[in-house]
Amino acid sequence: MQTSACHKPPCGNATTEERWHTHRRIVRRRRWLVAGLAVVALLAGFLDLLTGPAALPAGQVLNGLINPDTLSRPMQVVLWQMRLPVALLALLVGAALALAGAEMQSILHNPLAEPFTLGVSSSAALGAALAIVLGWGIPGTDIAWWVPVNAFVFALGSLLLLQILARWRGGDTQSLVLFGIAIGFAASAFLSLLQFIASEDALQQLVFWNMGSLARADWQSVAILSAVMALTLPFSWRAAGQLTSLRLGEEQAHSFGINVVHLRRWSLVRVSLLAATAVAFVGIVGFVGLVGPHVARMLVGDNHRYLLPASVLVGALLMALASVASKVLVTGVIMPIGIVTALVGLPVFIGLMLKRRHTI
Amino acid sequence: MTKAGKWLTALLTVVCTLSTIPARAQIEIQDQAGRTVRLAEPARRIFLSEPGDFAMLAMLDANPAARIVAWNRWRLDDQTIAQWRSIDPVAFDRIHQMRVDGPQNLSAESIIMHAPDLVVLDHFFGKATHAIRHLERAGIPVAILTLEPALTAENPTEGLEKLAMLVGKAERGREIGELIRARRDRVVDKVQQLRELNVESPTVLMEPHAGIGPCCLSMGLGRSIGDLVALAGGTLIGSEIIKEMSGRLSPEYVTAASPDVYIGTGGRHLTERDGLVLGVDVEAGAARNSLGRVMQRMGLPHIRAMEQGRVHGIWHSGYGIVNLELIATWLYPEHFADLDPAATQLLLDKHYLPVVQKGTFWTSLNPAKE
Amino acid sequence: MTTTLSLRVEHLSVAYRGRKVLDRVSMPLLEAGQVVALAGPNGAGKSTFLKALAGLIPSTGRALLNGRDCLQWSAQNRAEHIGFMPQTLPHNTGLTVLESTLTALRGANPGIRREHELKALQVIDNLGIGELSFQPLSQLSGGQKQLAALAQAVVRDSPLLLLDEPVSALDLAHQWQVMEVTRRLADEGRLVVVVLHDLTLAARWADQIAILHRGHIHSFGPPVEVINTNTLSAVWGVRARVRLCEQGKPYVLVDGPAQPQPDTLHPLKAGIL
Repeated sequence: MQTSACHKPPCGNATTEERWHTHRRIVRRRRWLVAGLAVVALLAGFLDLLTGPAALPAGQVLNGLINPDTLSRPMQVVLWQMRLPVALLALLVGAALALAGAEMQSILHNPLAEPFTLGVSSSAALGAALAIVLGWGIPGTDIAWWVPVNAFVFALGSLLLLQILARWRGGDTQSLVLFGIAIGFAASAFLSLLQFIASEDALQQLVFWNMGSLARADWQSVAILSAVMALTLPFSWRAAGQLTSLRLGEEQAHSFGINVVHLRRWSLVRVSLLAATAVAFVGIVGFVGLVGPHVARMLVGDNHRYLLPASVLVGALLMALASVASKVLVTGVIMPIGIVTALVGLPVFIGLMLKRRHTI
Repeated sequence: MTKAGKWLTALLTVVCTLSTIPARAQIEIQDQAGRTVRLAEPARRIFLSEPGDFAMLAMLDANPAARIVAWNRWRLDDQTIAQWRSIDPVAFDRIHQMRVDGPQNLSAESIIMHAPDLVVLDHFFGKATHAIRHLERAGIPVAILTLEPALTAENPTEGLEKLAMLVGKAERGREIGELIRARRDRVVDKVQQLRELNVESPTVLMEPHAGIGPCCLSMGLGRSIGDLVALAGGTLIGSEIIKEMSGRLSPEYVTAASPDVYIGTGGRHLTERDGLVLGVDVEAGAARNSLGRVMQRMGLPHIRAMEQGRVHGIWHSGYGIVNLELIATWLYPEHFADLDPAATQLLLDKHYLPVVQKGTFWTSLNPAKE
Repeated sequence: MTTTLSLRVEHLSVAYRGRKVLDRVSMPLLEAGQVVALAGPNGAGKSTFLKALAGLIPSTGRALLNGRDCLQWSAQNRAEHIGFMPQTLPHNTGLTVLESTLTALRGANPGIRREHELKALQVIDNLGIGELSFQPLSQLSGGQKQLAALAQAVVRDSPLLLLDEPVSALDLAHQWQVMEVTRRLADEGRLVVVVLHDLTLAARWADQIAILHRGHIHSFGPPVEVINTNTLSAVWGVRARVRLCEQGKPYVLVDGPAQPQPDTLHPLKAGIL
């Protein structure tokens, strides 16, 4: 029998009872890992609170959180209206993108899938461009909201269009990916056209939006993204077992009694909501949705009961660290967050590829 | 002195002293976005969003650096910076120099940390509604004012005069306003006369950042230097096509249109990019040569302006009123022979600026026409 | 686990892009306690038959499991009664053998209890891959993967087991082990339908063999009746000798391709090209 050496004791001639204890130990360790990730993510968020152009020492920040009156009024505004929304939004966006990425990688059976693979980012950028360049927005809404609302509508719309197209062709994952790429190309083409006719002013605004930025964070965006997360998380959690089964193959999952088409459809709905909302408020931020789930998988394995929470936390952590980096990398300048995630995400991604052992 | 006399003197002294104490009036203005800006006393810790605003403040206050706590110096070249610094190096070095390239990069936090008592944003940075909201919440007054005179407006120096009020130099602001208005009206009235006499309006190609890239960028009728051409009675080619501040025309279009006059704008920042070089500490010959180089690009050597020798260059950071007079003299040399832009610049420099700017601020291919 | 399980397949047809892959396939009553082997050349429709029974692909006809047409059942219902092992296995998941078995056990019902975990471990042990319990599936060899997949199919104690080529990548020892397990499972009262390529193996372990040829049932019955030289020639196109072993079970010795039949004429050999 060609068995490779078992790498978790006890094994070999261990009894079932002993193996059960090993199993329990692994489960316990996973739970601790997830808890640990939560702590680290929160710490990163706190670090995010500490960084910024205005010098605010940690002690003052803590006091300012508990009792705002200990700070001068300008510093209160800095902490509560600027830094706190940014830190919270970073955590939420990272969580949303990573959760969407984890679900996508499972339902598309593609380890390179992330929320923006299916043309969502180009479509969202197109929506934003329509508002910025042509001044087209949903009538009746406040002009200040046109860019995020457009981005959201177009992102959601592109995924809806994708669902319709894919269902027309049978609903399998291959047609999903192909149609997604096509939609992405089409949106990019229109986007280029808009960029061509844009005025200098609008062009700069558009390019800046494309690079992703947490600077527009405020309590409203935090509230909305929190609501979206609160809405989708329970459903993601409920689908965790089914998603795990999907990893064993669609036929197997089907034979376990899972409606695979149903699962895929609703998963895509969740992914759409999460990605569209994140993009609406922050612009295009790549790599977090790709790298987050991979790191989580390396830590806790493929069981979605642990993978989903871990992805959420790793995503939040990565985004918080990126936010810190964006403020610190170049003195006096706050770099667009999308650039930071790309710069940092790329070497991490390559490192993951080189370290491939059991997953991917 | 008698006892009564002593009392009277004392009383008079007290009354005189009391009357010379300035009334602690609150300063209140409406800025150019219609917002009410209130200050308890003249501003002494100002943030300026536009590099040229330093020069504007310098017209009001002999030592502007002492009143500025932070400033977006963005694309300003080192020579101009050195010039401003020479007024008061110590105060200047204390200014926090920021580089903000657009309203979306304006960080309220970076401004708040310097505890300004007034933030002045021009209409471009006035779009940073997010940042403005933060600043107001932090209790910092924000005034949206475009300080550079808008010569097409009814009151060109509205912004500058309002800033003058905010820094307690209202009288001086009014003076400058009257001067500029008078000179502007002189040109505009003459142009109106010429129009009534059906004098032909020369066609003009005005190219911003002349020389970088192929021919040609062109000003449109937006809020900028392009308006001066229209004010001075010229017709911008491409104005029908270009709807906003500037746009690109093809060399073929330019050759076919064959404008009567060419005016390029330039600055020191175009030196490395082989463009039109003008500004502080630029030598006249070098400026002229750079203009010559610029006109070598395809589409330009055969236009009417070249044949008639009516090719000129303007410094993009110059006084608007000086530029207006320059353009008027170039468009209608005979009719505006009495204008002396150099004298206007000298007047503004001497009376209103702490330094006299040295360098080449305009040039022509044909020296006699300068 | 019911000992009164019976399966009757009536006129099962599967069409794919207009082509009839299975054409009105019917089988006599199959009963619990049996191992039924499905044999036939490539493309005969063996996997298709199994998938249709498992409800994975659309089909027409009836498959009466204890008198009720299981083709009409919900996925949930099917999952409770039918265990399926596919031919192709996923290769890139980090789930361990134990995790995948637990996932199969849980199916659509969450909530793992200690009993479930112990049962999964038991099943894995019985298949002889106990040492691999904590190995990710992607790190297993082909044969080990098959055993893991078998564990997933078997762990739910389904009365009907459909196994698609469970031993194709296994060495002799493992082949014997797996077939022994299927025998045991059948003896415990299940009905096991197995797709096998190896006729000798089928003859040794199966109670009945169904031979599929081009979407039709060619023959059905005990191995000794079904496996003969005529069938081998007609269905597989080979010349072979059939011998009986000491237990009276047939084994096959292939001598070479059968004489070319008119309808299998190859253009090259006919001298046309």
